[in-house]
Amino acid sequence: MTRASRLLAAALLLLAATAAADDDDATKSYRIFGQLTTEIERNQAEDEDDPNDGDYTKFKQLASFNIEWSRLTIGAQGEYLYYSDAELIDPLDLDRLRSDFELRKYYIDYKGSKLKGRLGTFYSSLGRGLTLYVQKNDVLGLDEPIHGATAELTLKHLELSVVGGEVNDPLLSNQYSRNFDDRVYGGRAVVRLPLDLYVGGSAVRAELERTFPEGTDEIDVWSVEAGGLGLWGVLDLAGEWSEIEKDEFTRVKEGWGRYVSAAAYVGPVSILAEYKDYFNFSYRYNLPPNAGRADESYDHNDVKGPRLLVSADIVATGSIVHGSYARFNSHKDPSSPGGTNGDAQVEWYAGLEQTNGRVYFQGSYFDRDWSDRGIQQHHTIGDLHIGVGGSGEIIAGYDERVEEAAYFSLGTTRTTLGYSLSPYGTATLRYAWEDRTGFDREDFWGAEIQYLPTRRLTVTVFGGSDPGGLVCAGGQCRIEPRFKGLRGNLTWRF
Amino acid sequence: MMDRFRARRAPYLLLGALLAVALLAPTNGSAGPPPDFRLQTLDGDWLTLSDELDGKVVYVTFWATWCVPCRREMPHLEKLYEELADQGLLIIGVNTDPPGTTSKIKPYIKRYGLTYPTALDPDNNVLDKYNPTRELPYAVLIDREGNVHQVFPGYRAGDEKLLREAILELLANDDADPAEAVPGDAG
Repeated sequence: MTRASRLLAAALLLLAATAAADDDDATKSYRIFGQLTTEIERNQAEDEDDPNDGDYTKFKQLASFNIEWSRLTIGAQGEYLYYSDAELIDPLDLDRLRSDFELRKYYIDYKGSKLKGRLGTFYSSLGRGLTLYVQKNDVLGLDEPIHGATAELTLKHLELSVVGGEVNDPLLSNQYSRNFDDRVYGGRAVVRLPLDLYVGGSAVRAELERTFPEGTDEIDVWSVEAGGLGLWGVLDLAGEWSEIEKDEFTRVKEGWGRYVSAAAYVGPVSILAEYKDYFNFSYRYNLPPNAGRADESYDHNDVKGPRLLVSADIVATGSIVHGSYARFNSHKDPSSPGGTNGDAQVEWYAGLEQTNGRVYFQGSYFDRDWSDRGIQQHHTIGDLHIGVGGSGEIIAGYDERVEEAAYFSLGTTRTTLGYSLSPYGTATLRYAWEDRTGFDREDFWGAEIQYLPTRRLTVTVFGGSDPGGLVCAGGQCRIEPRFKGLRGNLTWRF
Repeated sequence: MMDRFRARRAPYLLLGALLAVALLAPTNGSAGPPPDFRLQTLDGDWLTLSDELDGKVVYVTFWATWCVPCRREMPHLEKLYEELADQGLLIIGVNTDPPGTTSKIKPYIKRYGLTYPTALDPDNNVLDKYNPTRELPYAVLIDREGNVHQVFPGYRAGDEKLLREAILELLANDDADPAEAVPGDAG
C-alpha cells in the first residue's frame, strides 16, 4: 500500500469521525482497555552431547491497548521477544524470526451505522474464504494480520467491502527462514433479496513473493455466491462458484473451486450436507469451506466429493449423538503416467455427548481410509467431567491419534487427569506417549497449574515434557515442536 | 560478565515487576463501557452492541463450535436467558468460527436449543479487541449503566453459579458496588 493511499484512507476515516462526533447517536465514551501477557519458557536440552541442543530461555511479552472515543477506536499491540541463545531455537518455533521489540498491531477503527473502516492491521476474509482468508489462529499460534486498510458499507439491501494491504504467511516464513512481502487487494458485494435470499461475489488479486527465484507471482481469483437462510423455516442453503488463475514463474495455471451446502432442521435432528470440488485452487491466502472436523487436516487444492453430517438430541436420556460420512477423491487421471487409480478417501466419524446430573462425557472416533495412498488415520477422543463438592470437578481426558502407512506408523496418545475448582483454577497432570515404527516408545510427563487470583489475572505454569506433533484447528495445521522444561504465562486484563 | 548476568536475569525481573503491578492494580470491577461492535447475525441482520444495552444487563460471550468448555457453558446460559430475559437480561453469543465452517454454526445452535441472539465475528477483529489472547469462552457482563461489571475468561463447572449471582445482583440493584457483587472475585 502506497503512502499516498494510506494518507487518503486516514483522511477519509478522520472525515467520517468528525461527522460521527456531530451525530447525537454516537457514543461519547472514552476508555482504555487492554491486556498484558507475559510468557517465559525454559527449554531444556534433549541431548546433552549435542552442541545444537542446549538449554535456552524464551521470554515474550505482549501488551495491547485500545482507546475508544465516539465512533473511533485506536489500538496497538507491542511485543518484546528475547531468546537467551538464538542459535538453539527450535526451527518449528513460529516466533524465531522476530526479536526485541516490535509493533505487531496498530489500527484506527471507525464504526458508523452504515460504514465501518479500519486503517492499520486487521484480519479479513471474503465470503466463505474461497477468494481471501487471512485469520489469526491461536491454537496454532498464527498471528500475522494484513497491514493496510479495509472498509464495509451497508445500505438497505446492499453490502460492499474492500480490502488491501501487505501480508506475510507465518508458516511459509518459518519454513524458509525469511519473511515474504506479499500484497492482496480485493472486494465483495452482496445483495439481500426477498425471502431471506442473497446473491453476491468477490474478487481478489494477490502479488506473492516467490520462494525461488526472486520475483512475484500473480494470483487472480473471483467467485459468485448465492444462498438463503431459514427457507421454509427449516432450510439454509449456500453455494459459491470460483475461478482462479495463477501466473507463476514459467507457467500460468488455472483452477476452480465449487462449494454447496444445505442444512436442515427437523425437530431434534439437524442434517448438514455439503459438496465440494476444488482443483488447483489453493494459494497462500485462501481457505475454502469444509464441514469436517476442526481438529483434522484437509486438502483444499485438489479434492472433490460429498459429506453428510447428522446430529440428534435425545431429550429423554440427555444425550446428543452425531455422525458424519464423507467420500472424497482428487482430479488425478487414473491413466496418467505413474498415476494412481484415483485418490479415493473415505472418512467417517461419530460421537456421543452425555449429560447426567453432575457427570458430563463426550467421546468421538474419527476414521479416514486413504486407500489409494495406503494411509489410514484414526483419532479417538474422550473427555469425562465429574462434579465434586460445591464447585469442584474431576476431569479425565484421552486423546489418541494414529497414522498407519505401508511401512511406517506413528501414534501419539495424550492423557490428562485434573481437578478444577471454580473460580480459582485448575491443576492437571499430563501423561503422553509416542509409538513410531523403528523407535522405542517415548514417554512424556507434565503438570500444569492455572490459577485465577482474580478474573482479571490468570497465571499458568507448566512443567515437564510434551511430544508436540500435528495440531489442527479451523482447517489449518502445523507441526508443534517438542518441549521439555518449564513454561509460565501471566495474563492481566485491564 | 555483569552484562551477561543482567541479560539473563532481566526477563525474570521484568516478569516479577509486572506481576507486582498486576497484583497491586486497582481491582474495581466496573471498567467503563465495553468496546462497541456492529456484527451480522446468523439471520443476516445487523446487531450493534450499544443499541442493545438500553438499560439491560447484558452478557456478551465469545464462543466457537470447536470449543468444548463453550459447549458445557451454553446450556447454563440458555437456562439463565429463559429465566431472566423478562427481568432485563440479554445474552449475546458472538461466534468466532472462521468463514469456512459457517455452515456448522446453525446446526450447532439448533442442537443446543439456543434462543439468545448470535452474532458472527468470522475475522475475529472484535474478539481481538476484547481479548487478544483469544481464550474461549471469553465473556463480559455489562451492567444497566452500560459499563463492564466483570470479565469471565474460560469456563469451569460451577462458574455458572457465580454468574447467576452476579446477574441477579445487577438486575435487582442498579447501584450495587460491582466489586462486592461476586464472592471470590476481586476483579
